[in-house]
Amino acid sequence: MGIFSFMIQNPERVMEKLYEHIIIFALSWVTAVIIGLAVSIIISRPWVKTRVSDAVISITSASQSIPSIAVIAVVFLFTGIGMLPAVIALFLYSLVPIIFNAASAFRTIDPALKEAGKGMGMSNSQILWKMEVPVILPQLFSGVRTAATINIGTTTIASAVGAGGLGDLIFIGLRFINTSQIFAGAFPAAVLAIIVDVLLSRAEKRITSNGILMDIEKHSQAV
Amino acid sequence: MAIELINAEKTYGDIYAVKDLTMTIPDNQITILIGPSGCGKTTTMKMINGLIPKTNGDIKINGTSIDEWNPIQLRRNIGYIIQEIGLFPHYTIFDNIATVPRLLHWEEKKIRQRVLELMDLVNLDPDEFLQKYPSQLSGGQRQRVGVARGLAADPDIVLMDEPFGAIDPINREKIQDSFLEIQKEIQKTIVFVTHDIHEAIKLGDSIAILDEGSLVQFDSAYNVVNNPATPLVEDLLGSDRAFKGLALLRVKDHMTKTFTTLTKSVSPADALQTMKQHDTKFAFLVDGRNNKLLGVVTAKDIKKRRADSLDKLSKQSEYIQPYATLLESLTKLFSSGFTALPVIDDKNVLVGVIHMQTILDQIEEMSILETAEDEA
Ligand SMILES: Nc1ncnc2c1ncn2[C@@H]1O[C@H](COP(=O)(O)OP(=O)(O)OP(=O)(O)O)[C@@H](O)[C@H]1O
Ligand SMILES: [Mg+2]
Repeated sequence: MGIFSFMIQNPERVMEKLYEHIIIFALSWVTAVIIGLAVSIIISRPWVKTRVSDAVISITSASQSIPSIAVIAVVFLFTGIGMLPAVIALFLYSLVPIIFNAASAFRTIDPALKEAGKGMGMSNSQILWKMEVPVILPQLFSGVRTAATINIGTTTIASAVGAGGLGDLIFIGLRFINTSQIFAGAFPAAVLAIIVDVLLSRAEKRITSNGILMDIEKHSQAV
Repeated sequence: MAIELINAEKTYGDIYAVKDLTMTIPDNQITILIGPSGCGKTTTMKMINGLIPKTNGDIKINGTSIDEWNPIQLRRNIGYIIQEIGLFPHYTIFDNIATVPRLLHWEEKKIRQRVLELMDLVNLDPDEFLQKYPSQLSGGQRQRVGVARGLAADPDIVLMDEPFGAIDPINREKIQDSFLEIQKEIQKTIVFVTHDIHEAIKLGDSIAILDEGSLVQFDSAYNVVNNPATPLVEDLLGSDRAFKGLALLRVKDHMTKTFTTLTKSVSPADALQTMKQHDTKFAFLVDGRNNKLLGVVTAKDIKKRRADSLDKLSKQSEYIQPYATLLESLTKLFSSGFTALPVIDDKNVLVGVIHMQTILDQIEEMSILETAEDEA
């Protein structure tokens, strides 16, 4: 039928754009996950002043409402057109939910857990990797998943600064009022977002301890 | 491993959390820290394992100042049971207990064996609990796992901050009993914080009373009860001090081991005869093979009910553990209505009998009563 016609007639072009899309997403998102976790860990260490972590959490909290197009536009002003500005902008944009969720979660860990760990002779890095990170996995994943979904959606807009990706199909389709071409850009992007989210949710269930999952269930029942 | 506090102090600004504290904590004994909330019990404990750095003075573990110990090594050698329990929510009960042995790289087989031992010790069924997570346990059960975790690596020193506070009274008495029984075997140097004077008297070899960061009295439990140093200590002990003295005395030291028992094979008529000979109106029924307590039989029931076997005549009996105190026995005696109480070990075997008269004699003997009378 009509709506799939562009996809059926131009499979290579759709695949090529999908491929670009995935590259932009993966580069910006993976870096954001790594840097975001690192920043969250650093600002939640006891030797970092509470004022600093307060500031980071407020900034990330506030930045969540900045429209993505604005971030892309600002980065574009500094770096010009191409894939790089898109990746940088999306990286910055993905950092926000990751840091906000992880950093807030690190703070809310029951101090008694850290004290117990320390009292048993765990080193600081053992406390971090064997206790803190496993305990905050649900919040960490929540940030990482939000970042992924937003990132895949926003990558379509990045086409405006010449980054490529599925956004190219959508923008050209819009100009020529070609519904099936718009769809050829939007549909794979939506499917990609759903697949990534499902995969991440499965990963989350696998990695997170049942004890933590049960806690969350208990809590949501109580609320 | 000896613990010595030498003029140890902790200040926050110009507030003293602990002030000029000098005490030598005896090896292989239970030392109680007790006092009003905020008097510095937890702070003292945490200075010993270096969780809170001392401001002044010195603390020596085994003759070496804690400044010279590697804090991580030190803490792996000191069991620490924190007031808030602090079980790791993402670990199963097994993994929680195994934490320190794993830090010390024990073999998995040895760890498994040790965990099972500890579950037995804290009276939790391993099949039911080991694979559960902390959120699936009650507060009291969690606290028992916390105790098991603190003892896991078999440390010479164990610091326990209100370890039984969240356990209901009945289970608390039981766990105290088994704790004492275990301590007899393992002989650890234990520093034990509580705000329950009954618990302090029952468990403590010696008791240290703190007030506003300062040591008010540090003496054997017996001396603290008999000669409270200050009005604060007297208040802490309460007006029924004489009674509390009974909490110093253990059932095992006052029970009699010569007593009449009956087995199921004895006929009711013979049972009556035996009771008459021993001038008693009741006797305990035990399993002839292993001496396990089955119940109590009274002469009145035999006469009245004319059953053909003792089995049918026996009633459930109150009982007490050897490490329980005379105070606890007295309470049980009152509720049982008998003048003697069977003493059974953890395998339900009848090991002795404690008589009401023995306890009354003890009350009379206690010097506490005399001083109480003098004051009156
Ligand atoms: N970080 C801190 N900053 C300032 N004061 C503190 C700090 N930690 C403890 N204190 C104070 O030190 C005193 C001793 O505290 P500590 O926790 O040792 O009391 P405690 O005897 O264990 O009390 P509780 O029975 O309530 O557990 C208290 O007055 C407390 O307010
Ligand atoms: Mg305390």
